[in-house]
Amino acid sequence: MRQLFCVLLLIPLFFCKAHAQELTPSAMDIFDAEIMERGLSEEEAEISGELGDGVYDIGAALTRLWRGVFEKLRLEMHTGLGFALSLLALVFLCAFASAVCTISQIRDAIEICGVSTAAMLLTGSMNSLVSQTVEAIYRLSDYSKAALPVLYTAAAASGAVSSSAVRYAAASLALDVMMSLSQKTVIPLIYAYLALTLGASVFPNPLLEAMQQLSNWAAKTVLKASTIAFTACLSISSLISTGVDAAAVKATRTVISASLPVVGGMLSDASAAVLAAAGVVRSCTGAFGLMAVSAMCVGPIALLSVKSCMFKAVAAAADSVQNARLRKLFSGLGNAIGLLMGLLGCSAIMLFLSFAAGMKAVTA
Amino acid sequence: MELLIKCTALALFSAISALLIRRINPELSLAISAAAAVVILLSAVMLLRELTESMKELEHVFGSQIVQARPILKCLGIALISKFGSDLCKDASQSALAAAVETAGSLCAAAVAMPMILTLMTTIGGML
Amino acid sequence: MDVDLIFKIAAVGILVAVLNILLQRSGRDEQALMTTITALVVVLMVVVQKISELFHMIKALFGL
Repeated sequence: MRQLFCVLLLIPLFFCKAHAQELTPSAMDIFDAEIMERGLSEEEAEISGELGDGVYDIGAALTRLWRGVFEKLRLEMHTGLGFALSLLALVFLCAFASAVCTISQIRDAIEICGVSTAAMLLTGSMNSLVSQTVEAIYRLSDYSKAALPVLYTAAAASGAVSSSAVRYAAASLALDVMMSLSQKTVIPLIYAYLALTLGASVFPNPLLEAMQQLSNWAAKTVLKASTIAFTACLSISSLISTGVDAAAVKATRTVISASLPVVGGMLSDASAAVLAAAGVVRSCTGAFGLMAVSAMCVGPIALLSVKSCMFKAVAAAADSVQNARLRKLFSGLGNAIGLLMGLLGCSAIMLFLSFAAGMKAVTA
Repeated sequence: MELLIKCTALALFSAISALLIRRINPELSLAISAAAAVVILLSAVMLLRELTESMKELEHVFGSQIVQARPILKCLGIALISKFGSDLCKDASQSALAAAVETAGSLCAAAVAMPMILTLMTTIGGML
Repeated sequence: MDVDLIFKIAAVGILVAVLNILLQRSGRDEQALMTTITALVVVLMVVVQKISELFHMIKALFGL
C-alpha cells in the first residue's frame, strides 16, 4: 500500500522531459513496450489510452477510468433491476401466502418453497459470477506475465540492474503462488459457503450456521494472509537490493569520466541520457500497466458490486416481512459476492504492488 | 369494499340465526354457519383471481423462471381448504377431526414442497 | 354473492325449528324427528354443492 501511495505521489514527475525525450521512442521499440497494449480488449484499451512515444497522459486515463466505471455501473443496474424486482415479487408472494395461512406447518412449507424457488432462480447466476471472476483473475495473471518483464527490463536498463532482477524474481514467483493459492483455496471455500447458506436457510440449524461463518472467516483470512505475505515478500526483496544500484551507477559514471580524458566526459553524459530514457520508458509502462489492470477490473467489480447491493436490498425487504429464511438466504448470497470481490481486489492489489515496485526501483 | 361490508353483514346474520336455532336443532345451525362461510369464501377467493392473473403477467415480464413460484400458490390453496375444514369441525365440537384435517393439510403441503427440496439438495450437492 | 341462499336456509331452519316445537308439544315426536331429518338432508345437499363449488374454484385458481 505504501508503495502505491509513493507511486501516486510521483505521478507529476512523469511529465518531466529532459533531452532523454529524443531517445525515448527508440527505447520504447527496444523494450517492446507495445506488448503491454496487446491482450487488452477494446474497452480496456480505450480506457488505458495509448502508450505514446514517452508521454503517457495519466490524468486523462484516470478520467476515462472514472467514466468507464460509471458507464458500467449504469449498464449493470439496468439488467440487475429487473432481476431484483422478480426476487422482490417472490418475497412479497411468500409474505402474503404466510399471512393468509394460520397453520404453522403449512406456513413452514410455504417458506421452504419460497427459499427453494429463490435458490433455483439464483444458482445459475451465482455460477456465472464465480466463473466470470475466475476468468478475470486468469486475464490479470496472463497480462502480468506479459507486462511485468517489459517494466522490469526497462527498470534494469535505467540503472537498477540487480534490484530489478531480484524484485522481478520475487514478484513473479510470489504472484504465481499467491494467485493460484487464492484460487485453489478461496473458490472452494466460497462454494462451501454458498452450499451452507442454502442448507442453513432451508433447515435453520445452529451447526450449519456455525460452519457457514467458519467458511466465511476462512476465506477472508486466506485472502488477507496471501496479500500480506506477497507484500512482505516484495518488501524483503526490495530491502535486500536497495542502495546497491545507485552506488553502482554512480561509480561506473565516475570511472568512465575519470579513465578516458576527453571522450570520457561525453560518454558519461551520453550514458546518463540513455539511463534517463530508459527511466521514462519504465515510468510510462508502469503507469500504463496500472491503468490497464484497473481497466480490466472495472467490468467485474461493477457487476459484483451491483449484484451485492441488490441482494442486500432484497434481504432487507425479506426482513421487513418477517421471513427469516429468505433473509438468511439473500444476505448469505450478498456475503458470498463480497468474498468474490475481495478475491478479485486482492489479486488486483498484488498486481498494483508488482507494478509499483518496478517503478520505484531507485536510480541515480 | 362493498364486498367486505356484504360479507360482514351476512356473517352477522347467519351467526345470529345459528344461535337462535342451536337450542332446538344444533345440526341445522351448523349447516347455516357452514353455508354462510362457504358463500363468503367463494366471493373472497374470486378476488384472488386477479392475483393469479398478475402472476401470469409477471411471467412475461420477468421471464419464465417465475413459473417455479407455483408451489407457493398451491400451498396457499391447501392452507385455505384445510383451515376451512378444521374450523367447521371445531364448530361441531369435533377437535379430533379438526386436528386430523390440519395434519392432512400439512402433509399435502409437504408433499408439494418435497420435489423442490430434492432439487435444492441436488444443487447443494453439485456445489460441494 | 349468493345471499339469497343463506336467507333461504335460515328461513328453512327457523321454520323447521318452530314446526319441531309445535309437533313435540302436541306429542308427535316421530313426525318432529322426520321433519328435522328431511330439512337437514335438503339443507346439507345444498351446502355440499356449494362446498364442492368452492373447492373446484380453489383448485382452478391455485392449480392444485
